[in-house]
Formats: sequence, structure tokens, C-alpha cells
Amino acid sequence: MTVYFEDKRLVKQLLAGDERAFEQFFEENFARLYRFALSRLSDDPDAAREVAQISLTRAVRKLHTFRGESALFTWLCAICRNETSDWLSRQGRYREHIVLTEDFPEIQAAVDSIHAPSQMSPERHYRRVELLRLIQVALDKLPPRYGDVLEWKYIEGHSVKEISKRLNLGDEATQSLLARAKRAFADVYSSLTDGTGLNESELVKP
Amino acid sequence: MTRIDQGAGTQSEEALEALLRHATPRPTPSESDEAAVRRAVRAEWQVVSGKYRSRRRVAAFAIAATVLLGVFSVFNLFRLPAVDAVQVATIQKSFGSIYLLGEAAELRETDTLSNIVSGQTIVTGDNAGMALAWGEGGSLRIDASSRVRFVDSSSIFLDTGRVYFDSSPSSLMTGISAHSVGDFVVVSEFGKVEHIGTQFMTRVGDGKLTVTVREGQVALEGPNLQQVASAGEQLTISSRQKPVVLSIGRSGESWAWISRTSPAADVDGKSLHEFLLWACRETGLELRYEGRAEQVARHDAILKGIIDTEPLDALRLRLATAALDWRIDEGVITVSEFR
Repeated sequence: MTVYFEDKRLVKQLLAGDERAFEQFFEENFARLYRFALSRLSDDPDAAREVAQISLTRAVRKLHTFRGESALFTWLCAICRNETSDWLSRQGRYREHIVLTEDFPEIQAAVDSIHAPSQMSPERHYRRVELLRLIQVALDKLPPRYGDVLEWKYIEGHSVKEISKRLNLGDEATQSLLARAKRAFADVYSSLTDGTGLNESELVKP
Repeated sequence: MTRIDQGAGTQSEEALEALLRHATPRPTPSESDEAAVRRAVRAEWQVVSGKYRSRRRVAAFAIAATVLLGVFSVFNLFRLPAVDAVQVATIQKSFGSIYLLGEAAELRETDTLSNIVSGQTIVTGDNAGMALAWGEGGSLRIDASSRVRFVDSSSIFLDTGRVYFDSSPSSLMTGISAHSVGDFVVVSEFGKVEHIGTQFMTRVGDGKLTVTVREGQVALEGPNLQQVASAGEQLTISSRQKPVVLSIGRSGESWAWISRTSPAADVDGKSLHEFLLWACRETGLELRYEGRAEQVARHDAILKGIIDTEPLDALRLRLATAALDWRIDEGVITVSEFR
């Protein structure tokens, strides 16, 4: 079994009351968890904010139970998924409960252990918008810095120099980070789309 | 689906980059939402981590108590009569989110608290700060993101964050007893810090205790340490490393937060010189005069009203009004006549 030692260490520091650990925990997870909730709550930003807050608060209370058997963000997503269901139930919005590709256990396992090929074949075919959404999901599934640098470079069009400055890194280190991020993205994205019938060539169709 | 193949080299990499370029930026929460969520989660985390550490300390203590005292002693301990809460401090100034720890370990934000009684625990938010008039005399300040338990009339327990204590504050600060203070002890998991007539700052965080002395001396007592730190020294102790002593200035960035918590000063009918002494005590600056400036400050310029701005802002305004010039250089403020 894979153990996420970095995440375990972070949780240990959090429990010890380390301020920097809290900053890291919040910086790395809040925005991603917000988006995780947003896509399950019909893109309602207020609801997403509330559910993300509840989820993080709940997670903080349960930190001592984190064993590092999954990535910390995966663990947070599991909590957020439950909180989303509860929130929708409280709001009487059962019908709006959205089940997304990446919510299938097989997909989660693939993302957590990106070397294991996915055998899942969901029946539903996604459209162009779903492909775009899955790119965002894949970015959020990466370690936080990886997702950020890819977004800054290829989606927002920033130069390597600008990214280096933002991260306080040298250009070579940034190039190396981008290369690692691309490899990880390729793995995660493939895991998410394998067997879904989605084809990125749909993106370039008019 | 054309699986993005890592082994396919440049062509595959170009395909991946093209794919990313088609994407749109991920939605982000607004800054205000992020700040609000951060505050709430932080408050919860502080409670949880505080309780977790307390449990560990209690567990360690329980083992020691079992060995040393035995069951009978522990039983007697529980039979001790409860001590009534007593007022230990008065709040003179507060800003930002201030929380009070409730009986069920929940945090309740409060903006109506005026007095602190023994047994209460205060948690300050990200951008918060407090100034308290200590019951036995002296001025206590609490920085942002701190957690302080008021044990009794002579001690506080600093769980995390930063506090500052001035045992002989300026008499201009209203509501503070300026007479010499009795006991005042900052207790932490690393040891206790006791003043010996002084201004000092104590910080607990990142697994260590740091004491910085601006004036006078403080006595530190840890599990394996007894040491006195003097003015201009910063002493850091942790459970794993040897104590480290550094030299540090009386003013500067690390002290800046204290000015933000300065309570109102009553300067009505006071000389500019008295006001300057107050501002210097709050900021740690040393006061020097040039030429006739001292004469003007001591005898000619008499102030009115109450100051409720930060000392340096007030100083800028008051000196301009008295037609005096000033400059700050290496911890010294020099006041002179306009040339």
C-alpha cells in the first residue's frame, strides 16, 4: 500500500499547532476543494464556499484519523463529497445531486495510483465541455504547484520568467517543474478519460 | 480516445500543450470568501490542535503523576475545592476577530468583552490584536493568531502566538496602574518566563519559545534550564535543541506589532516631552534632542486631548504642530528645531 508520507508529516505538524503547516494546508487545498464542490453544486459559488468551509472544518476535526493511505486532497474530497450530499439534502435539492466521472471509485483509485491502468468504462459520452472540465479536474488532482504552473503557462500564457518570479525560482528550476507537471498531468488526465470515449480531438472541432 | 502517451516524445508533448491551451482558467473563490473561510477554519484548527496538544501533555502528566504521587494523591487532588474566577485584566483596546473559548471548547467571537477573568482563554484572529491593563499593574499586549489562557492574577499560559508585557508602562496610558507590578509569569509548554521589572516579548510557535527583552531582565525556567535574559537579548529554547541567545535591537520590525496595539494615551495638559517618552517606550526608540528642541518639548509645548492613533503617527503630527523636526536612525529618534 502506498503511504503518503509528505501528507502524513503535514498532518502531524498541523496537530502540533504549526502555523506554517496551517498556511500550507489551506493554500494547497481550499481553492481546489472549492472547485470540487462547485462542479457538484451546479456552479453555485456561495454554496461551494459554504460546503468547502464545512468540509475543511470537519477535516480539521478529524485530522487525527488521517492515516496517509490516500493523498490528503483525496481524503478531503471524500469528506467534501459527503458534505455536498448533506448540503443538497438540507436544501431539498436531491435531483440536482450530480455524479461526476471522477467520483467513481475506479477513477479515484486511478488518480491516487496513477500507474494502475483504469478498467472503467462509463456508459455516458461527454461533450466538449466535459473534456474542458476534466482538464480542470486533472489540474486540481495534481500536486498544487504542478496545477498552478501548467495553468499559468499554457492557459493564462505567462512566460517562464514570469512564473519563475512568481514562485521565486530560477528559470531552469521552473522549466524542470513544468516538465514534471506535464508528465504528471498526462498520467492523471489519461486516468480520468480512459474508457470514457472522450477524445481531445473534439476540442479542436469548430 | 487517444491516450496521452508519455513515451511518444515531442509530438505527444505538443499535443498535451495544445490540449492545455484549449482549457479555460479554473474558477477561483473571491478574496473575501477565501479570507472568511480561512478565519473560520483557522479558529477551528487552533482549538483542535490546542486540545490535541493538551491531551498529550495530560497523558504525559498522568504517567508521571501515577509514578510519583500514586492513586491516593490524585484522588485528593480532585477533592480540592473549586477556585472562584477573579478578574485579572481589563481590555483597553482590541481590533480584528477576538474569540473566547467556550465550555464545550467551541470558539465564540466576541466584541463585547471588557474584562478578563481567570480561567478564560482568548484566541485572536489573523489580523487581530489586544491591549490589556493587567490587574496587578502593567500593560499586556496580545498579537494576532495567539491563544492565551488567563490562569490567575499573576500568570497566563501562552499556548501559541505572541504576547508583550511592560511592567512599568507610561502613566499617560489611561486605566493602567503604573506602579511596580508584582508577579507576572508567562507559562508555556517549554517553560515559564518571569519578569524582573521589564519590557519583554514572548513567542510560542514552531516548536519553540522565544523571549526578547527590550528593557530590564527576565528569568526563564525550563525543564532543564534556568537562565536570565537581559535587555537586547533574544533567547530561544525548544525541547530538542540547546538554548540560543542572539543580540536584538530594542525597536524594529519584530516589535512593530506592539505599536498597533497601543492603547489610548491621555496627553491633556502634558508636555510634548512626556508624550515623546510615551511614544519612545511604545516603539523602543531612544530619545535625543538637539539645540533648543528639549526646551521647547519640556516647557513650551503643552498638548491637549487623547491620542488613539499609533505612536509614530501621533508623533509625526505632534512634532509638526510644535514646529520641531525629527529623524529616526538606528533606533534613535533625534528631535531638533526646523532649520
